[in-house]
Amino acid sequence: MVDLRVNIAGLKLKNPVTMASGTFGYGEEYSGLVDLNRLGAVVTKSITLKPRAGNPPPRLRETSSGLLNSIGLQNVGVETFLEEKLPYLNRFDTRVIVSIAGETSKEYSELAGILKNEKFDALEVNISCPNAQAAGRRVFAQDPSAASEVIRKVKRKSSKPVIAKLSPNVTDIAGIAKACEKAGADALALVNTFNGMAVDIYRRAPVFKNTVAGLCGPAIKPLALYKVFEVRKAVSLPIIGMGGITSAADALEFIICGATAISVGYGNFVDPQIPLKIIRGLEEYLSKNKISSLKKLTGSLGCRTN
Amino acid sequence: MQHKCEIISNTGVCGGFHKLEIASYAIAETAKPGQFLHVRVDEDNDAMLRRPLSIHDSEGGRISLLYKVLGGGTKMLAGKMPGEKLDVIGPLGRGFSLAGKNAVIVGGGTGVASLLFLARSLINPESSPAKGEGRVGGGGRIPDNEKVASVTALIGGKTRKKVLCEAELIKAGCIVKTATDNGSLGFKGLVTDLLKEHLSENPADMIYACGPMPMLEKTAGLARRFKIPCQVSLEEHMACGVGACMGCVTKTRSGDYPRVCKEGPVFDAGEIW
Repeated sequence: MVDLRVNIAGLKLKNPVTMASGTFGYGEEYSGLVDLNRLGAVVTKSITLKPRAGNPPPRLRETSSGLLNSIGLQNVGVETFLEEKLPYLNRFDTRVIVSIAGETSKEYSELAGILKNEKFDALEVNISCPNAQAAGRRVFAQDPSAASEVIRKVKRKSSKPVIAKLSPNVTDIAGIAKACEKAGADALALVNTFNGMAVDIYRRAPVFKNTVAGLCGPAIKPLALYKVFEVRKAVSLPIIGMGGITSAADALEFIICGATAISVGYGNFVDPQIPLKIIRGLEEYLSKNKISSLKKLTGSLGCRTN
Repeated sequence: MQHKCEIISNTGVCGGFHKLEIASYAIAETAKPGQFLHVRVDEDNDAMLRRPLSIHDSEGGRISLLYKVLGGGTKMLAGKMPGEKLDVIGPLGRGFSLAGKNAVIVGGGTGVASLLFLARSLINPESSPAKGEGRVGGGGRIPDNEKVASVTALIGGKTRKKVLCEAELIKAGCIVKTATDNGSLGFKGLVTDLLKEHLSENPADMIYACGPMPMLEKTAGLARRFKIPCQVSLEEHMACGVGACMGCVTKTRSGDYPRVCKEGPVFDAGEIW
C-alpha cells in the first residue's frame, strides 16, 4: 500500500494530480468522462469580477506536440460562478482551487474579498495569462514588484492558501518566485503557457488577432521542467508543476525536480483518462521501487531510489 | 461517452475521402444527425489532439465517419485496420432539429459527410433510435401528417469527382441534384446558385446546410430572402471537444461566443448571419 498524499501549505490532497486552470472548465463538462472524485484537485477556469466574452475566434491552433491558445479568459464572472459553478464542484471528493484574474491589483483584491468565506480549498492567483492584457499593461508575473503587489493584496483578504501562478516568459523566474514568496504566497504553480504565434501565409497576417498566443503541451515539457528546477533552487515554497505532462513518467520528472503536486491540462484533451493513468503509474513506481510515500520523491533529484 | 470501438472497415472512397466504420451500439443508441465524434488518431504518441468528425451515418449499431486525408492526423486515421480499436468521445454537440415537410439539404465539399445521417433520419425516422431534437417528442410512431413529404439534397463540388454521396442520398430516398463548378455533373455553378433556382420553383419549409463558410453564408442569405428557416452546421478547430476549454467558439450576430462543440455545431443561420 503506497501513500500518494501530498500537502501544499495546509491544502491536503489525496494524490498529486490536479487539473490545470482553463483546461477543465468548472468541472461539469468532464464529469461524464472522468470520475472527479478520484482527482487530487480541480483548478477552475480563472474567474473575473465581471463576466468576460473572451477573444474573437480563432482561438486555437495545433502545433507539433502542442497547442497555441488565445482564449482571453472567457468566464461567467464571480457572481454566476458562486451561484452555479462552485456548488457543482463541491459535490465531489476533490479539492477545489479557485483561480482568479484581474486587470488591476485592486480587482484581484476585490475578488479575494468576495470569495473569502465561500466553500473551496485554495486560491490560485492567475497573474500570468498572456491573452487578456488591458491595453498598455504588462503581465503581472513578468515583473517582481507587480506580482508582489497582487499577492500581498490577495493574501490580506484571503483565509485560504494563496498560490501564485507564474509565467515562464521571463528571464529570471527565480526572482519572480522570490518576490511572491516574500509577499506571502503559500505556494507556486508553474508554468502558465509560453508566448508563441502562428502566421497565415495566404493572408500574410497573424492567425491570432492579438498576435501572441500561449503554447502548451508536450512541446513545452523540457522548458517547463527547467523552470521548476530553477524555482526549486530559489525558494522553499511548495510547487505545483505543469507543462506538457501526459504520463506518470512526466509527472515523476517534475516531482523529482521539486514539484509537490502536478497539473494536467493539454493531456485531458488528448485522453480524459490520463489523470487516472498517472495516478496508477505513480502507485506502480512507488511500489516497484519500494518507496512508501510520494512525499519522499519531491525534490529528490540526485538521489538514487535503490 | 468515451468508447474504444472496434473498426469494421476503413476504405478509400472517391476524391481523397475515406470511410471508416466502427461498431458501437452505445453510440448508435443516442447519436443524432449533426453530432460528431472526437477521435483519437494517434495512440502511440500522447501528443496529438483528437480530430472532430461528423457522424456520417448510424445504422444497425455501426457508426460511419467520412473524412478527407488532409494532414498528419487524418493520414494516421487512414492507416488504421479493421479489428483495431478506435478511441472516440461522443456523440457530442447539438445536432439538427428535425422539422419541416419539404426539406432541402445543402452540402458543399466535405460538408456533405454529415448530411447522409440527416437525410435518412428525416425520411425514415423509425429507423434511427434517436429521433433528433425538436421532432414530435416522446418517441413512438410519428403521425402520418407529421412525416416529411420530400427531402431534396443539393450537393456541390468543384468537379464530378468531388461530389460526394450522390448514390447514398438517392438510396436513402432523397431527390438529389448536383452542382459542379465546371458543369461536369449536373448544374454548372455553385450549389448555392442551384439552391436559388430550386427555391424559386419548389416548396421548401426547412433548409439544412453544411459546408464551407462562404457557402453557408450565401445559403443563410437565400433562406432569409425566401423566408425559410435554416440550420447550419459549423466547423472549428477544437481542443477538448466537450465545452471545457472555450477554444472552439464562433461569433454570433449579437456578439456572443457560443461553443461549436457544445451549443453547436448546428446553429440557426439567423444567429450567425
